[in-house]
Amino acid sequence: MSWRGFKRLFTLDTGRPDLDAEVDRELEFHFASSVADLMAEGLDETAARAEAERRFGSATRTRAGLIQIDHHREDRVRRIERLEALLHDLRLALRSLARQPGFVLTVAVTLGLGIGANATMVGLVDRLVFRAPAHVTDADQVVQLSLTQVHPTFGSFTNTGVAWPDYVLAQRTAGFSATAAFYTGRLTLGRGLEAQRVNVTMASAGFFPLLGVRPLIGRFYSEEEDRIGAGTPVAVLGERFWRRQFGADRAVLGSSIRLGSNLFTVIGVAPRGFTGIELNAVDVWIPVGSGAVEMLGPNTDWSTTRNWEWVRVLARFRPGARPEASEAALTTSYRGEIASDPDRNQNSTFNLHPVIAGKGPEAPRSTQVTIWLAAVSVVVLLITCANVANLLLARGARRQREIAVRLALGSRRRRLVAELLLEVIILAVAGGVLALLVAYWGGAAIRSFLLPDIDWVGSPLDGRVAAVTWLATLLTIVVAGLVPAIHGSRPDLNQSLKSGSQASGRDPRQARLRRTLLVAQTALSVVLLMGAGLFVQSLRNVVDLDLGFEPRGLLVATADVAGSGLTREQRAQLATRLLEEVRRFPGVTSASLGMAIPFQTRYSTRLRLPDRDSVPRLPTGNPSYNVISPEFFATTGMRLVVGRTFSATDAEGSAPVMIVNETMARTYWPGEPAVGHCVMIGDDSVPPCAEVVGVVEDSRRAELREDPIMQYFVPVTQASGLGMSFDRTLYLKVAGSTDQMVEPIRRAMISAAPEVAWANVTPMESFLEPHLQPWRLGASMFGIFGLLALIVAAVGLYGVMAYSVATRTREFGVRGALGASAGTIAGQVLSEGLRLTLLGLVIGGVAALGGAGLIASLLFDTSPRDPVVFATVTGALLLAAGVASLLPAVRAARIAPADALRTE
Amino acid sequence: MPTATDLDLLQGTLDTLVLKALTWGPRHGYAVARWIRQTTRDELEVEEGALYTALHRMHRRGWLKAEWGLSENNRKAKYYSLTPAGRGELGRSADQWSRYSRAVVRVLEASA
Repeated sequence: MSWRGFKRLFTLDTGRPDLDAEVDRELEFHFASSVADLMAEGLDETAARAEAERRFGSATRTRAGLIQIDHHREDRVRRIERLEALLHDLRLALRSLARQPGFVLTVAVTLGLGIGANATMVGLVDRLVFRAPAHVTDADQVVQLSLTQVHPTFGSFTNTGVAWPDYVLAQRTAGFSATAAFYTGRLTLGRGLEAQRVNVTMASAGFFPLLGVRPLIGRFYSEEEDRIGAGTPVAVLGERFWRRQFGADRAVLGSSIRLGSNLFTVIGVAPRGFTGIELNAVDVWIPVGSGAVEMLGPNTDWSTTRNWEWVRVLARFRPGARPEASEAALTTSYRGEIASDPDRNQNSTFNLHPVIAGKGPEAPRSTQVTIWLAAVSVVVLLITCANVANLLLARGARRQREIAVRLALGSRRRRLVAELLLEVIILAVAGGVLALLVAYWGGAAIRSFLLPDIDWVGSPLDGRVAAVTWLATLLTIVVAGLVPAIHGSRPDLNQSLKSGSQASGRDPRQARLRRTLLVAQTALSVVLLMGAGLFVQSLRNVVDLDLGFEPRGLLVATADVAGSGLTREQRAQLATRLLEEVRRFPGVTSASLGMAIPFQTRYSTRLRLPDRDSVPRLPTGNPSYNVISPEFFATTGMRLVVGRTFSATDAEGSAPVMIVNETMARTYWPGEPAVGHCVMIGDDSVPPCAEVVGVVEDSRRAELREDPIMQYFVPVTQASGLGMSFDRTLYLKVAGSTDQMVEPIRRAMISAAPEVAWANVTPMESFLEPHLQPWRLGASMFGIFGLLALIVAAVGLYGVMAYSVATRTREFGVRGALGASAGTIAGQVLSEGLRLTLLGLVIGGVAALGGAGLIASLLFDTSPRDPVVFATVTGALLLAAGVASLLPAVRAARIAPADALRTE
Repeated sequence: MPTATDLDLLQGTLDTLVLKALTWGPRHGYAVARWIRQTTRDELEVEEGALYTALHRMHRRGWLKAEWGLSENNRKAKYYSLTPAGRGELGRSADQWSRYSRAVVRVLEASA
């Protein structure tokens, strides 16, 4: 349609009556009458004409005035007419829609879900990826440091955690107007039963001014209070924590809170939603100077060592500074400092990254998944559009006779198009309103169920989300509405009137368009369902993954004794006492001591082999060790392959023993049994040699998917003899739900030992949860979208089949009369529906196979071409198609020949 | 009592006269002019151009409606008639006029 045609659609006929001529005619009549009367009174024609003109005054001026008045009047009349026409159309459209509430509901709900899903995802992606961190001024000038270390054989590792000396380097780098360091962890707040774990960010004093944030109340700390080795214990509270913990009481300023072993004076509250550059909520901010002891432990050389990469560094550019220059300067001075260090690599480089979430070097997996889901939601919108267009086409076709009659009676086509379009607009607006609700509730649900740790600020339905919703609605109107509206207003008049409503809808062009839309929609649904299936399969693989230990029913308990002044021996005794305490606890089936917690902590120390110059190494690093009591393997479900576990005979002072995992056995003693060999443990010049007495299966250390790692175990009784520091962790195996056991066991531990500041009891599964979350997010969201697509596809198929049957009443009737059985007719309709679905399946399947490579990196141990998923999706779709075509098929089979012939 | 300049007075007066002229049914512009002239016995000289302006203006305001019809001597003429709004307006302005003229008469006949 041309632009003029489009414009005409919305305006009435512009041909106005010739106002000028009318004025002339009116005045002519006046003069003729006037002259005639004057002549009748006895004047001659010349005198009469002169008198008439005198009586009238200036004819030219009057004429111009009259024409102007009439034009104004005409304009106003037209405006009113147009408004009335619109209202009329609106009434007609509403009335015509009200006759089919089912249709309206289907379309509005489909649109609401399709658009709402989009708005929800846009809201999420906007917050997670595109929005600068809250309260940060000129966030585009702030960067985060990362260090990429290149290893000749193992490739490169990029880490945003760097060593403290690297932060010192950054402070000296030209091009930065400010630098700051921070580190995020958890500390115990308070003591005993009332204690809780809080999220703490330890940040240098420059952190707040660098980001440009102002405190809500009170103040942030100064450089003076953040002096390393001589810091002042002060704390700034997060707004959310302040509200939750202190009821937003201003009197909290000046009071003290116990964090770990020390009392911190509260000096301020950060503004609402301020989380630094990260997404997760921060409860308390403390200076590095006074916080390092709590966060990093008492005897660490964190400020001098390069072996510990932990601190994250922010920098703000000077105006006009070039990022590449700063990166190069940093890298150069770094390489200068490590030149004499054989463990460091000269190919390492520093990089600077924007601080906007998701753009960093370690874009979190959930961010990647979210971006994918946003793309998926666009596909859902396309499916929705196709479906709505289809429903509208079918409806338009059903009304073709009515429209043909109205056209024949002289209705203007553009009025009809406008009317049809108006119906679409009403439907889309209804859908848009529903979409806003979906976006609001959906956004809130995703926030609280799937991404609960993020400090969300503001409603899930903000201006940007609302704008996107309306934009999507507009798009839907254009995509889904315009074509059917124009199409519907252009029936073949002769044909429609002659053959009646039955055949008129079977315009082959239309049928083809509808079938194409249906197939396209089915194909897109297949792609989505494939995605959903692959994610669900991944989640199942992740959950069922054999970690080498059994996380179900496993609890890990630690006792925080910071500040209690207990000696090493007293701590060991305390751990033994607590172990006996929890072992007796009802529901606990097995308990043991350990130190390292999988996915949480790891320890390693120097190893030597008595008969060799060097020990074999693996890309995954030196062996990590765990210090355990004899029941450890039974409690955690780790499996012994050969040899024996520890026993009471492996006491302090007796011959040192150890157990290695399969990878370590294979690496240290390839091709021969490990049991019987011995390994020298520790830094002493002549360390004791521990004999290998058993081999256990490998278990995962830090990642669900990791290359083989070496691990070994030593008995608790011999740890100090081997020079190993030993922080005790309790491992408990319980029958039944771990969640319900957490609080009772925690209380039991604290009441058994008053010197415990905080007892931490955590289900093992919650350590795994962050690793599962991206898959959970992907599986649930893809699942919802896939289900949505399946429902929409089924509704679409039903619509097309039902319509097809309705328009072929006569055909089925005649065939029934000619002896076709009900089964044959129903079978034909069914197979037609399935044929369309199969076509969509094939196209969608090919597309899914083609695009499979794209999401392979997001899957877990699942081939993007997983045959089970393919089969399941095919089955689900065929089932849905069968159900959707069944009703129309039954209806076709039930058509009585006599009725069918009478409908004409 | 509203105050009015001469011009407003004149225009308002003309409107009132035209509306009054149409109370007996549809009339074309010339008939209205003729009626006013005869009724005022030529004492009030109304410029006919202004009269047409008044007709068209009141048509625009919705006080009158206009239709083409046949005149007494079978010619096409534009006939004006009162709409309900026009009838209301006539009542209002006539009332205003009587009060105004009564007040003026009272002033002029006042003794000391």
